Amino acid sequence: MTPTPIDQGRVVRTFTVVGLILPAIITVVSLVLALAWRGALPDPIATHWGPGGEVDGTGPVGLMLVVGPLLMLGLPALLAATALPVLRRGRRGPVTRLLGATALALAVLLGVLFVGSLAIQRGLDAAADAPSIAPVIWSSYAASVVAGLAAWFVQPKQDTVREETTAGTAIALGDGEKAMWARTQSMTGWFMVLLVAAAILVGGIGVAVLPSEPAAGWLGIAVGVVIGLAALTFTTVTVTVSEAGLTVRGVLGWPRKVVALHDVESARVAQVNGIADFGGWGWRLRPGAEGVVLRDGEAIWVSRTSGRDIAVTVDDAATGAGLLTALAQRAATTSGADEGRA
Amino acid sequence: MLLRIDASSTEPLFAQIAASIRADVARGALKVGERLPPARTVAEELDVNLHTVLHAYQELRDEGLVDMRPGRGAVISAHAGELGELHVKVASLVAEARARGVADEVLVSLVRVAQREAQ
Repeated sequence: MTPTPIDQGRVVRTFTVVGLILPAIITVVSLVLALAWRGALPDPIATHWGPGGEVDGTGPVGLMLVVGPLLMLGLPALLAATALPVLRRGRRGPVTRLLGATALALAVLLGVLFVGSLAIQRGLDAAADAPSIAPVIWSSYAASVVAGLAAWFVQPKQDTVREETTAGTAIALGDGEKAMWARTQSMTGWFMVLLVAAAILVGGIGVAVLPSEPAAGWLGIAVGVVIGLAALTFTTVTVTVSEAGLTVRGVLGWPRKVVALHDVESARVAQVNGIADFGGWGWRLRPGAEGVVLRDGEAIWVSRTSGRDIAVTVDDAATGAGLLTALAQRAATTSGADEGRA
Repeated sequence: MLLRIDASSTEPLFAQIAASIRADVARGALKVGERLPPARTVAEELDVNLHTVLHAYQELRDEGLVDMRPGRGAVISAHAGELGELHVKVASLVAEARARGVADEVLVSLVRVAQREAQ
């Protein structure tokens, strides 16, 4: 079965249209409308409504006119900045298609909310007179879903393309020779910093509000501790190849993933891209493969006889894959000879 | 880090482990600041005595190739970086000796002579 070839240029172009150009147009149109209405808007303007539909938060009009468009263009641009470099490198996947659809859906959601909340306040003397925001919210949800679906289907179907894998450097093992390969791999520095900062921030807020809001305080502290532990356990792994097969373990010995030698069908070197191949980084699971993807780049890619593939991004992957291949071959010959004798 | 040991070799196991790590530093597979796997893990994976692995790590520490830090285990030292640079020079020396028809054993004894002269 030969799949229809996908034109990567078209993938990139449609993504740019739905993920960047359309959000930019929505932002400009919203801003033009807002500036045209500015004279008729109350200042301060209503920015938040309570559950009963009554206004419970206001802010300066000027600030609203800056923050609204900034989010409308900024959030989609952030998603595009994640996906476009991946697509430009010739990689793609359902995740990049979803990122494009999400970018447009977000822009439409924020655009309708922004324009709608201004429209219902035109001609009012005070923000407190503003009617309920509920109709605006429901229309923004509906418009956002429609836009997201449209953006999904407008983009070409994106199958996952992987770069060609290469066999690891063959390592010749003597019969009496024992060998192991081990390597510690960490996430990139800025990601660790981000996680640790998040842990401190959430935990810190928890500590700060503890006297006045004990429940929320403890929750914050608990979440902070969980993020901190996750940063410790999931962002650094030790990858080992030995007679025990391929082992991946977290710093504290857990989580632990083992592929025994007899389960190794082939071990190769692949260039893994977190977004395109697994929809992100970390310990990932997708149909057909699981991945311990702490960064983009070279990885040991193991096909298993018993089930889905496993990919582990690690430096010097060629040596690891080479040794795993050699050990698996030797184990297969030895057990074959044993069966022959029996 | 690739470790290879051969029980049938006359070279002691600890020396084989140490030699494997030296070779990895020389070929650039182990970089300055990188952590070696805990001795206990190596002992389990290679099915050798824990003291054999510790002996190898201590020898590397005595050579200044690794730093042993409590709680952090064995870490490739800054000094080890120079070993990688020396490796390149030695490799070109070996190539030149072979090109001149000098046997490897003769080159080794030439190095020994040079070391004695330098003392």
